[in-house]
Amino acid sequence: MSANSHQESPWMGSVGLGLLLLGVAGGVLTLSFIGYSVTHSHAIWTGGRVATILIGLYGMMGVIAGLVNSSVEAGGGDDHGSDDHGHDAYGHHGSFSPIIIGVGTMLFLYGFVESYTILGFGLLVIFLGAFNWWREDYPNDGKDEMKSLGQPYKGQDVRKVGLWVFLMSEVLIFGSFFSSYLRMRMGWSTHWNEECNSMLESGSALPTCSENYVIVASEYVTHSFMTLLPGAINTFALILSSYTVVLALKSAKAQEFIPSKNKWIRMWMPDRRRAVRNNLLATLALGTLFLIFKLIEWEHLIYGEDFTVKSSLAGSIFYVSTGAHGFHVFVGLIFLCFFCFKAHNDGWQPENSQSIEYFGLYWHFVDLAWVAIFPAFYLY
Amino acid sequence: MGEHAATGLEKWLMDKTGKDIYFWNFIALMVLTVIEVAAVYIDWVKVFDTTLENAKLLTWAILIGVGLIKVYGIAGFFMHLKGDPFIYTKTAVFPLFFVMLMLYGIGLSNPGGVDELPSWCLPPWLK
Repeated sequence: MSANSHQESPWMGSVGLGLLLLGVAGGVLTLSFIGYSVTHSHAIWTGGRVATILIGLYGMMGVIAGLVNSSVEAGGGDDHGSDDHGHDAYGHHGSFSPIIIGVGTMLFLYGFVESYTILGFGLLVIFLGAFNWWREDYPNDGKDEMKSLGQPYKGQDVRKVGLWVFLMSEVLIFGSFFSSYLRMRMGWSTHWNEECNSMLESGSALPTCSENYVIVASEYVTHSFMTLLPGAINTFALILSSYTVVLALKSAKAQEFIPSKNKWIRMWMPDRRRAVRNNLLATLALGTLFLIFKLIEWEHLIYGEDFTVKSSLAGSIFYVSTGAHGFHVFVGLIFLCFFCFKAHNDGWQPENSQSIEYFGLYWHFVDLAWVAIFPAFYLY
Repeated sequence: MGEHAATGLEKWLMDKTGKDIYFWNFIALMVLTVIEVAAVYIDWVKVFDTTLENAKLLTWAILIGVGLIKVYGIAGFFMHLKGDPFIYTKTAVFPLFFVMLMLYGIGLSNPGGVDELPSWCLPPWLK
């Protein structure tokens, strides 16, 4: 699994896959344009453009990560599992890449307020940090997993502990969104108000029964089955994607991979490599679907209902909360590309499957956050 | 999602159905989501001949209750807090204390606690 040699570098395969995806992105754009021309459906056109951008981004990442990483020795020169270098048992996975990504994220967020140049530069730093991280992780065979030495986590994998602490900081971020929303919602008169609701039923226009009446996103979303459909599909897609991550981990973790008795599943996943890769690809596809439907829904709310981030506090908190969640899905998809690429090259074995477990923890957390966001912002 | 031997309900499900706890957790989450959506669309006023306030209270209770069960399913089984060392559960619960404080202190407290803060507690542009 070593990727040290320039000639043998598997990263060139990443370039090929990236070019293929760029072609697919072009095809999707063409099909969505044809679909729009025939049906005049804005949902098809919006969904097609979002799908094109995401698939194109995966392709570009494949090409750039492949070119960058194939030109440098993998793993910073480390050969995991070799005793020749005299490393201690805990020395292999210390990486500066997360710090680089952290600095990039800071610049990216600062750029939101100050300037798009800084925002773009932040994105560049994030991607460079990610590519470097992947290059370092690619040869990781799981033999030198760092263990925590101090209490209360003594003996636990450092990466797992770190990820849990990270997730808990995320809980606080989403907790602040919810408490703000609750505070505002408590002061608003909405369709949950009996007086307003009776006027709603009698009149065709939205009610003006109270000066404090605020139209919240759920009023538009639950207006009909079709307007609720994107959010409902997204909920099922995220739950299903959580399950496919679990299946990928189970396949990678099994000491002896046993193909399914079901012939259709066996055809799809006849061996460990394809079982892990295809389950991860299914997760990638479902996550992409989530973002596509998310933006179709936003497009309807913004252009169809004039419900924007600036139109009211209800719009502001809705887009900030669901946008922050969507951004988490997006970040997960970026990292999932690397997991799929490594799986394609048979890089996941029982010994290093814990990396999929840690990615799964992040992905399940994103699902968990949606479990709270969906009823609070879409149904309530 | 760590490795551990199936016990209790997990073993029973595996023996009886041939499917593991993750599969049934996935099915349960799907069903619970359908219940959430149905709870919003069912006209409880007509079903129970009650006021809109009571109907909305019921919807709210169903959403919260089902949401909590879903959180348990995802955190307990998919994130495997049930099989992992208890220190991870404690790690997960720790920030919930602060979230509760925020939900109470910001979300549910007297609005004056937010809008009528003393001047020393306000940012410069609001003084």
